[in-house]
Amino acid sequence: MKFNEAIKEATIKALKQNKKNLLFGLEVTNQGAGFIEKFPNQVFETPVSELSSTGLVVGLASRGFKPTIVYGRIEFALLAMDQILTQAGRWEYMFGGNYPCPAKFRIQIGRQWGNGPQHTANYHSIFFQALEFDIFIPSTPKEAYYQILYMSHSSIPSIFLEHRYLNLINQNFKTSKKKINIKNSKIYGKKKDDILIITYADTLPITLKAKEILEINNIFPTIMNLSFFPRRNRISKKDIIFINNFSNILFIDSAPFDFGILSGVNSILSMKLKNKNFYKLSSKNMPAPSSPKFMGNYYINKNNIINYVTNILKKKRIKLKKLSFEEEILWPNFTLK
Amino acid sequence: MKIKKIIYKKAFDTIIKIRILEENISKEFKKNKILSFLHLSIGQEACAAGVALALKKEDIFFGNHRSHGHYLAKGGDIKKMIFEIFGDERGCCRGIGGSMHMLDKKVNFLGSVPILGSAISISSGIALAEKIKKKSNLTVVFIGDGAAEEGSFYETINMAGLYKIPLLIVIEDNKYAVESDFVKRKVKGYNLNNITSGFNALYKRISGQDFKKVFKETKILREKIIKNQCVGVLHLDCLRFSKHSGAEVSEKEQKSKYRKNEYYEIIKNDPIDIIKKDLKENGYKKKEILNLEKIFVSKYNSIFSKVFKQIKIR
Ligand SMILES: Cc1ncc(C[n+]2csc(CCOP(=O)(O)OP(=O)(O)O)c2C)c(N)n1
Repeated sequence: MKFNEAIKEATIKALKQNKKNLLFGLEVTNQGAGFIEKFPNQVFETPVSELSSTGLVVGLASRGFKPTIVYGRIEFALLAMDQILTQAGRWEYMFGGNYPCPAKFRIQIGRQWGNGPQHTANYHSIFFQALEFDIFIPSTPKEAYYQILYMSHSSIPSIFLEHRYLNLINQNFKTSKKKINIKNSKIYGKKKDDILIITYADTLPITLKAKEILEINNIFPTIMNLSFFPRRNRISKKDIIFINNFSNILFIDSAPFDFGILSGVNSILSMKLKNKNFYKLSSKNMPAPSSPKFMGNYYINKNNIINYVTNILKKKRIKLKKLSFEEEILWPNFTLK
Repeated sequence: MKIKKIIYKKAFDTIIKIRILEENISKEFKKNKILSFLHLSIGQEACAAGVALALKKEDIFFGNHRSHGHYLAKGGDIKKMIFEIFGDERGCCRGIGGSMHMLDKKVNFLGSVPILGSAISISSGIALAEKIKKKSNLTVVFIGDGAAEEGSFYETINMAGLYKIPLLIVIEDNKYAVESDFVKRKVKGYNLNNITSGFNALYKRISGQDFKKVFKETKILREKIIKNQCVGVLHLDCLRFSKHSGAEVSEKEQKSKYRKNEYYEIIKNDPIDIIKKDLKENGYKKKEILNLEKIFVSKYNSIFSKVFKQIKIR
């Protein structure tokens, strides 16, 4: 299943499982989406009124429904921030508890060539201080699938940040009927290795590709990919204990690092763990450009990661091929192992 | 439409309830140096009473920053409201929300939020939830003339109309948003009648100082909205006797410069005087009316002092 198919399949399953799961958004009733035909009473096309359609969803959520609203870009969701952060995000607390508001916000986010500075913001971190939300940022089809199902059962308001860049990533997995258990992170590699790379979101595919090449050259990185940031406690104790096995820790972010999610993780680790060397690799501290010529310099790529890791570990530089246009600019399109 | 005698009496009780409790709250705010938000409904009581008494128990209210009156008119728990306003954990939101967050689900008062415009679309969602559950009740949201300038007001009228959601938006138009009057905020010729009719919504503008008018129009709108599954806007012209926020209901405030000559309108249009006149015209004797007034005033004074005694401010 590809990433976008996983989201669709899980959404269909959620709509089927419970009539109180509803779906709102622009274009969700289009033929191609495939929802309205099966669930005519649960799927609603919204007017181009992000603020009020979000308010509508908040109102429904406060009355026992579990509505999801989809935004085609995070920039569109910004028009609805009052309802997301100030209403859904505070509802239960400000009314003294016992008044759940399980609205689900599915927000598409991040890079895509040609989309320019106003459709590509990587504002993951703005949600992180809205402490009442569960936040999901899947990197793989499997994560996306189970996180959507998890959200559809949960009574906690949830933010699901969805990188279109991952849409073509494929993964074969069996869909389980058992109770859904989701993890904060996934480890790729061993408990003790040369370096730990901490990343999340759309950076995972290129990091995995970089890992393959590094391993051929006898350099062994472990990757910790974060994908679920539960409310109030965004990073788990278990993950911190795992991280403590490493002395070299590299953060890789497709958003600008400073004051972002990983810089927050870095600050927590710096206070809790001793004798660590922290490194970072991220896109530049500026908005994303439109043209592929500039994009290539803006986002980090596989070769940047390989070069930086060899540098940190003082290994001989690996001879690398220049990246193709597809590799550098287009959506990654391969099957995860 | 003839309003029953007993309804006038209930309205008198409701209006005095709001007035007396808020006056007491206001006094204690001053005494205890509580400088936080306090948006009083004094002067606008007939709006809340008229809408609430015209509707049914199963109808839903949702409010804004100035919603003590709406909560009380709907029958919200008095004790829990006083506790909440003074930050006591026995309050309707366990003292976390405060004056701007009224809540009593038992009487279908489903909350109030102070971010202008937010309540409107939230209420459309609440109303849609009722519709999906196949209930045939009405959801009412109270906003001010300032909040009606928010985009969400216009967006929601369109969206709720599109989804055929039965929703009544009550605008309490006291002419001011804080201290700026509508002339400073609205284009010349701004006309809600034209605007709402362009959205195919129902619209009625009347005096909100006059209980009987509010009551009658609400009844009529309720029936039409439920029958047509549409949006209605009830535009009430009213007078805020208090300062925008804070414990201040003085003549000095009412004569302040920004209000121009409103003071003279205020003394002529007290909803309590208007309802007393109506009681008289509907068969209550002068003595009877004064007696009722005394009973209601002392009832709410004593409720307040009993509850307030239990509160430790800090
Ligand atoms: C979105 C937003 N902007 C500004 C404010 C600050 N504010 C609080 S009350 C108020 C005036 C509101 O006027 P109106 O809606 O007419 O209600 P009234 O206070 O007159 O009852 C303002 C501007 C706010 N609460 N929310």
